[in-house]
Amino acid sequence: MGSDEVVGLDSAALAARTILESSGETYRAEDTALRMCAAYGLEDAQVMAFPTGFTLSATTREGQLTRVFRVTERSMRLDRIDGVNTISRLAASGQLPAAQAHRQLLALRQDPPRPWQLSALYYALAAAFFTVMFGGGLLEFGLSFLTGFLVQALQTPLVRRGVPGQLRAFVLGFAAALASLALASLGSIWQLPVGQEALITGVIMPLLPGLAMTNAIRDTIRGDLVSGLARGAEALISAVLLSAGVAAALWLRGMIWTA
Amino acid sequence: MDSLIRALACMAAALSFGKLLRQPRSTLVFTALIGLLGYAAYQLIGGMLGFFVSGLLVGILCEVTARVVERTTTLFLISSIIPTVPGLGLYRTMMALSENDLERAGQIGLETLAGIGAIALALTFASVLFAGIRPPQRKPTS
Repeated sequence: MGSDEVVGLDSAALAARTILESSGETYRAEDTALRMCAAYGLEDAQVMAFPTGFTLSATTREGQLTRVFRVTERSMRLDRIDGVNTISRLAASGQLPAAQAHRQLLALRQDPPRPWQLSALYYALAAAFFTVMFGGGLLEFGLSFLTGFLVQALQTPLVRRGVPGQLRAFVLGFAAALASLALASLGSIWQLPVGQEALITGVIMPLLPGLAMTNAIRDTIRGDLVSGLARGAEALISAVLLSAGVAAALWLRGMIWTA
Repeated sequence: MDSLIRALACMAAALSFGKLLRQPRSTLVFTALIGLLGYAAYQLIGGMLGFFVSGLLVGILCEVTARVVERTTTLFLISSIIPTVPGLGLYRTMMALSENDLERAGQIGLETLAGIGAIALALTFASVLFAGIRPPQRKPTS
């Protein structure tokens, strides 16, 4: 551990890194880093953040110091964005010494991972309720729950193996539509008409790149044009690939059906 | 009765989606309510204007709520806007595409894209409205 100033710089960098890794807005990462630098008495703080990394530099008694981080994997973690926000607010009001802020940030980043079954359950619930929102009945609710659980269960190993997010969108869209279609066909064997439209739409709703789109807008408004464009492209590509996955499953089914 | 079930499902969906993204518990009630209001506005008005009004309503309500409970807007925005996002249009476009019905795919696809654009524009307006009235920013003076 270096001097207080160095710890302050480190915690500012850690805060910015956590925000970017949790899919927070780029301007928020920059604002937070600058605010924390100011709180810990660092001078000439300059930060340049992108969705994929950032550099932060400031002048301390030991000279100009710089921190550079590359952000490779981003996931949606609203709780961490909220946590960093609380810490940086406390720091800015002078209630949190640098060493303590650093410890709290480290603790925030090390919370125990959530079991995949829990994520799958929430995904399944979201999908099932979206299906009902689109006019599905009790049968569609159940099928959507099953398919949703399956989709999220599939997402976990894909994330772990480092499959890029854009490719994941295609695979998951394909899997969601294919599983829904299979269940709908099974239903028709037993003379149960399944509302295929409500079912598939409900299952893919949570996969839509809402977060990327909203953040693209918010970054653009703040004048962070590079990040805004990058995130806008990310959202668009995800949506296109997700749709392509769904289309592929529908097309496949059409082939089998007519044969 | 049917619309009551749909309304409840909409709130439950927004809530579950918030849980999936690990939204802090105390913010979940707000997103469920705002999500429902946005979806209801879209259902009542419909079309492009529906998307726009819904986006504007959700955006403004999220900004106001965030300021009242002193949390960041992002926490509220994402799961509140999701029920309005035109997933149905996206599915119908893909359905038409897989049936080689390019004309219908083009028409619905364009409508869906325009709907997303309308939501984005409305959210932008809402953010800009509030961008000026936030606590004074501690910008570094260089």
